[in-house]
Amino acid sequence: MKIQSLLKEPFVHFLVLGGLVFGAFSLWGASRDGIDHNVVVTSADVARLEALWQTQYSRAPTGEELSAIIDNHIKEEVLYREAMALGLADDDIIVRRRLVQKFLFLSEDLIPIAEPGEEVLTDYYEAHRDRYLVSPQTSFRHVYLSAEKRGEMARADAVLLIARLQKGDDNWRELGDPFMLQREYAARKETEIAELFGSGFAGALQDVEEGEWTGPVRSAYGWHGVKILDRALQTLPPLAEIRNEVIADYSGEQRQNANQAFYQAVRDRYTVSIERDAESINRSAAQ
Amino acid sequence: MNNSIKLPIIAVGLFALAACGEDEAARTEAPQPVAPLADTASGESSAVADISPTNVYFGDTHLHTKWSLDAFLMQNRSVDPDTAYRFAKGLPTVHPYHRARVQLQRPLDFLAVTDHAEYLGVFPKIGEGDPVAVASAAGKLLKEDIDAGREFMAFGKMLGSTAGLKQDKAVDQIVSSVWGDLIDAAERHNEPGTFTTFLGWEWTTIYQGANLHRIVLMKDGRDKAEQIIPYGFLESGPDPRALWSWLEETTERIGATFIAIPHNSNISKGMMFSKNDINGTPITPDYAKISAKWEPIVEVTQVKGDSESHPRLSPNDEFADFEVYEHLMSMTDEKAEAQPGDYVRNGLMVGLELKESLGTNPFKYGMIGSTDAHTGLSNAEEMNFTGKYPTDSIPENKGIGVIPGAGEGGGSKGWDLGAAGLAAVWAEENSREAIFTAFQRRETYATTGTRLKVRFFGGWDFSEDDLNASDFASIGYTRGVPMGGDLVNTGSDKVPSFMVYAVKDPLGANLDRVQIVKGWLDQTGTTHEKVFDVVWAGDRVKNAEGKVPAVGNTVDLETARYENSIGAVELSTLWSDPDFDAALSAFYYVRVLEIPTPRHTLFDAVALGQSFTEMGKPATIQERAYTSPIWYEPAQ
Repeated sequence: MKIQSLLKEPFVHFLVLGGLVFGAFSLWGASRDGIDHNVVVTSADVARLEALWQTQYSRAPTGEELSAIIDNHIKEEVLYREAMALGLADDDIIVRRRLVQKFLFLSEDLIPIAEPGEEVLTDYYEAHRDRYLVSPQTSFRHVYLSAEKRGEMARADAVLLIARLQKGDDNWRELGDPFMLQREYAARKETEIAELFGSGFAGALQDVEEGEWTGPVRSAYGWHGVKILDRALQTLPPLAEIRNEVIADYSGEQRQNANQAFYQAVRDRYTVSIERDAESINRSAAQ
Repeated sequence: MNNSIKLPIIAVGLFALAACGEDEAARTEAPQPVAPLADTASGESSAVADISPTNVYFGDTHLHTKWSLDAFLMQNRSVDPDTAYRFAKGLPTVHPYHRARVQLQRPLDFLAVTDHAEYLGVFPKIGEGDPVAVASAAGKLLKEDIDAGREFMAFGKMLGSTAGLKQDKAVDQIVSSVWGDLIDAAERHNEPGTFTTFLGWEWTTIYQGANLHRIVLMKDGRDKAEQIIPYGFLESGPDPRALWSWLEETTERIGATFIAIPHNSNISKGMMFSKNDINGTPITPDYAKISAKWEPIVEVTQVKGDSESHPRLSPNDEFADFEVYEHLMSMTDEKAEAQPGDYVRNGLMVGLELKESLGTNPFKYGMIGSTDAHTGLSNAEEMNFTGKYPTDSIPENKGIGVIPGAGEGGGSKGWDLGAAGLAAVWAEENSREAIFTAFQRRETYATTGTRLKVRFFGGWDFSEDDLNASDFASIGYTRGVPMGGDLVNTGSDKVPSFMVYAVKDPLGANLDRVQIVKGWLDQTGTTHEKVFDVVWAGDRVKNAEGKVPAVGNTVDLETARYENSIGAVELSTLWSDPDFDAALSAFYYVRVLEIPTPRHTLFDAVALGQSFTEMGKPATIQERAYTSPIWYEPAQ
């Protein structure tokens, strides 16, 4: 048979056209989007889906449930492939970050940190003095007037009681209403006072002058007359006293440095070039 | 003035005398209170007298980090013991799952990181492909699932076949090095007077689907801890007696001091407080003695539900239906059904019964709460809850399985878990010695997350004046016993009286009521329980059944806000038991209820724009505290 007659043969036309269509389709299918359009749900896949169900619900799925899980699995697979082919994962900041996280999970904190020597520790402590300052502490006593027992009179009663205490307070401890907490506290930080009386009271106490009965000050419980006995200023404890804390901070920082160094080592395997136009360089320089 | 300035040490000394009047084997080694640190309570200013013999400290004795096998599987890959302690101290940290910054609104006073002893630290190594870890029994069973990202399934497999998780001596090397890391972190962060750390671990027995877990805590630090490695159930087998024997032997060998703390009795299939041992044989006098010796306190409330009481066991207690959690840690079809051996109130009652027949009360428990969080983040705050496992830390994950398990729906979801558990301790100071000794003498209470404060004293001649005195606590200690103590029959026909004083959490919700729960053993050997409303907010009147009506509810379901416009800021009373019978043994403990506040799931519902009803849990809860009981025993 001659070539020319072959070219006239409808069956050949069919084959060639079909081949072209198939070729185009597979080009479109395979090379343009790289999708494998065969979804094979193997019996191992089904067994895995069933086992997963079993784990979660403690019983085998019914026939209906099983076909629903399989449908779901197929749907997930098909949409996942389409999404991957369209490059949706590449542009997606959440996917990128999740992958980075997974990588960091596996790589961080693997390097053991050695205990610091005396000199290193002292230097670190000196360099971070601010971090170890102890908050101011207040020593105070108070009398309590219950807002629940006295209603609207509680505040006025407190004013009267404070005036009386200012004239003489020998029996101050027995005055006012009964109260579960202590009448007197030594050297408490503002946060500690907040845990005892509430944050409003703790804050107000910082502004009260030392030495005289004063108030009334509102707490979470009622009204109080207060007397500041002593105020210790902010202090820096000696290293010996807070050694463990300083070591903890030092080690934490070392660990962070180690993680940073790990990243740097990985980073060094890359050649990075930043292409920027003159305008953007000028812009950041101007800032 | 003389009367008002008392050195703390005097009150403490007297209180030690008061607390020692006890006849049980377990109490013959009564712990001695310690002298306060020179630089704390007594202060620098000699003019100031902190007269209270004890202060309350809040903490957590049950917390897991990434070194725990199940924490690793549920995506805790980053929070190690160091981070856990930093978070508890109030420092900002990064969440192990969603990676946002998280911070505790109020720091804790003490913390024990207690990872599972079994395969301690080995699972992360399996993930990393460490050859020893991969070749271990667990590695062989689970490596493939872990690599394929099927960690929830691996977790289920592990629970389904604890037999598959055989002990493997090859991993001891890993366990030992991770235990070293735990010791380092605890020692670094222990700051007497400010923040206390404890060394410990969890002994993780599940026997035929029954949770028999115990936390093991040490009073000691590095020098003792370095002589052991955590003792888990793969080595001991499921019987708690094996754990107690190990504690006994180890104490003798290295001179360390331990306690064991049972938890999640609610999913123990009736076994935690059973009259029988795990083989079904009635327990013996020796069993009772050794149980009482090692287990002075029980963890009564935590993320996996509340174990104080159950509505089916205490049908007359309208507050028993609280954070009920009935998901067994087992892969069979079996459902958790409340049995007497599951709930602490019943356990205390069984204890009275066994004391009668065995001579020792094996279940003489004080109460604490803790979180059992596996995020490494100890957090019992409803509005700031960071999850039981890392995965249930975000609202959108709370509707899917978080712990594989049995029963309808299989396992539990994030919605089923509670943001709960604090251990409150009345101690002389914030130190290992003082807090651990308070655990041993049971001067503790459990809270579901609130920091309300409650005092409870029993004595024979308290008056209203004592209750209202400015040195009320000192009076309680010198003329009575605090929570956790024993009232010894003086032979007279006096009726005991109880001083109870509760103040609200100053940064939290008001109080609804204070109740006293009584359990007793009658002449026929039958136990009973009764809940008394003893003091409550407002002018509510008891109804015909002797119950105070509900306090009301100010929670706005649209905004998850509440108001302190109902309830009281403080409640106190002097109470005597109207039914007291000097011939019958009994216990009394206090339950304090707050007004209703939003459950963590309501915050999620608002955030997600869903109805809270879809979460299968109430929108609001009444946070609460349970004190250790005071026991009364008739003269022999």
